[in-house]
Amino acid sequence: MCGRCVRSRLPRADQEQGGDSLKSSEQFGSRWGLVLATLGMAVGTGNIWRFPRVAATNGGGSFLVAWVVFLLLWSVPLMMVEFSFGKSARRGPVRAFADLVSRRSAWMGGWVALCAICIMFYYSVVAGWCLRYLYASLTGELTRTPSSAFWDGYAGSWTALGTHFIALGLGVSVVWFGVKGIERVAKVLIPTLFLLVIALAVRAVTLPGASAGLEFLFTPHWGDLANPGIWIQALTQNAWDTGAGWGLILSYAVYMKAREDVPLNSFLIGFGNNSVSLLAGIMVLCTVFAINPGAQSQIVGATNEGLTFIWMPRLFEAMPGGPFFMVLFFLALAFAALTSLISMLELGTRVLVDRGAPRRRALLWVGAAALLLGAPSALSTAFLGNQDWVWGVGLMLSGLFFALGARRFGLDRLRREVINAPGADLQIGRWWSFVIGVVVPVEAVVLILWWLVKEAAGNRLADVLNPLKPFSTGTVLLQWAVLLVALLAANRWLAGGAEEEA
Amino acid sequence: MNMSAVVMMIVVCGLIWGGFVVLLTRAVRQEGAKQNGRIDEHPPHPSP
Repeated sequence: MCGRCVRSRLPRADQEQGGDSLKSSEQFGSRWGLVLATLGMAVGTGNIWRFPRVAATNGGGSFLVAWVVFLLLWSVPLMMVEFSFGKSARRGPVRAFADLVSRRSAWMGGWVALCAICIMFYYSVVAGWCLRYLYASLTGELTRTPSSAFWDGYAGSWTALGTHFIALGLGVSVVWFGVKGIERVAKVLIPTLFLLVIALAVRAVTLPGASAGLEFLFTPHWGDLANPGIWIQALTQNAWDTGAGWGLILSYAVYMKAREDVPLNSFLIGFGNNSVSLLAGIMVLCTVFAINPGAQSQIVGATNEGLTFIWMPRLFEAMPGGPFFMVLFFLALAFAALTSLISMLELGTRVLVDRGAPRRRALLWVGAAALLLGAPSALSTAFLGNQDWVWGVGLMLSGLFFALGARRFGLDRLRREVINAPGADLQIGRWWSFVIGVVVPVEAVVLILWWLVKEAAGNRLADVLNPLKPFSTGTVLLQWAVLLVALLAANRWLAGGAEEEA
Repeated sequence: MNMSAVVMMIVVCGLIWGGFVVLLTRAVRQEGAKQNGRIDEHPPHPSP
């Protein structure tokens, strides 16, 4: 069957059946289950450890302007595409691209899926770190041992491999019970996470001297808006911390009810995610300025891990009631990491289920692969950094593929027939078609080029292209090329099954 | 705190947190109406 015939069939098929081609046990029980699970996917460690640092080092208030702009010009429109693809195709990224865009585009879905899966391999290690620090804060280890010594002794050790295993075990045990398990856990963890972050932010702003942190975060430097770097950082932050364009929302949308809303949920998740980021920014910067104002440039200039696992324990130690709030901080971080890890496991499982594997067997395969392929990241922070660099930038390509896929499907058609379909609580105008058709592709291309050129600037070409250097352009291009060649070669196999069922 | 920081804090927090609360309230209302079977499937709301 030609791509056009497939395209004309899928959304209609759902509507003809009253939509619910899935059994009720394979659907989210309610809108709130879907929203909370997707918020759990979106709110991750990036909100808590990356946003405060990036906002503080990129102009504070002026960065926030660009950050709000890209929430509306990248994250929310791409979330609508993902929801629409998952809801229409009822398949994971690979089959959704094959069914909705064209069989020749299955490799794009393969890229989206494998990019998120490669991130899962090391994200599980990060979730393990959060669990280890939660345990250490509960037992008082973190207050007895200097935080830098604790980090140096733990990161890259066999213990980190063990916590990677524990994090994966927890994630697999949730996904084991299917969408109902994910929904049940999200309904507990996400409201708790919101309350924890609010409690921590309130504590931070009530510390003496905290207003300097607020001033640092919110003072606008309007001249900075002429610096393209600020805009790029704001776009990157939105792309990374909302999870738009990763394929994870698509994987959850597979289980949404046919008459479930797309546009209002997309706005709700985008604004909910960024609300947590803002709270985290206030919490971290107020704590830094109240407790150790002399070291603020050193603290916000640290790496993600340095800020979270070395500086935050030191700051909590010096704070009245610090040990208690340190437990809350690492509990929030662990919840954020685990709910995101769960969505990545679900994506991998969904891809295998679409190939005909029984669900629980597929999950065990994904868990075993993550355990094995995440081990190098658990044992080497340099390897983890390399993977974070390669696949983090690769996510921009995923976002680009979603935009191109939606264009190929027909932007106005997707908007009319899926986004604004019966059940939608908002009607989306033509602006969305322009954003997805023009703005997002331009943003993605500019962002990828900027990252690669920035890395190349000031370095010898031989070093830039050296694939053995962990943060070189060469390592990105080599790993992308290997994956792209493999996906293009396997495209027919990836698209297999789409034609038969069509 | 300087005045520009105060203004920016009110604008950004108002937009993000206020926007989230407004969207959540709207979703709760719409969902409640759907549960009660009172809603038009094609509401004439403008795009935000």
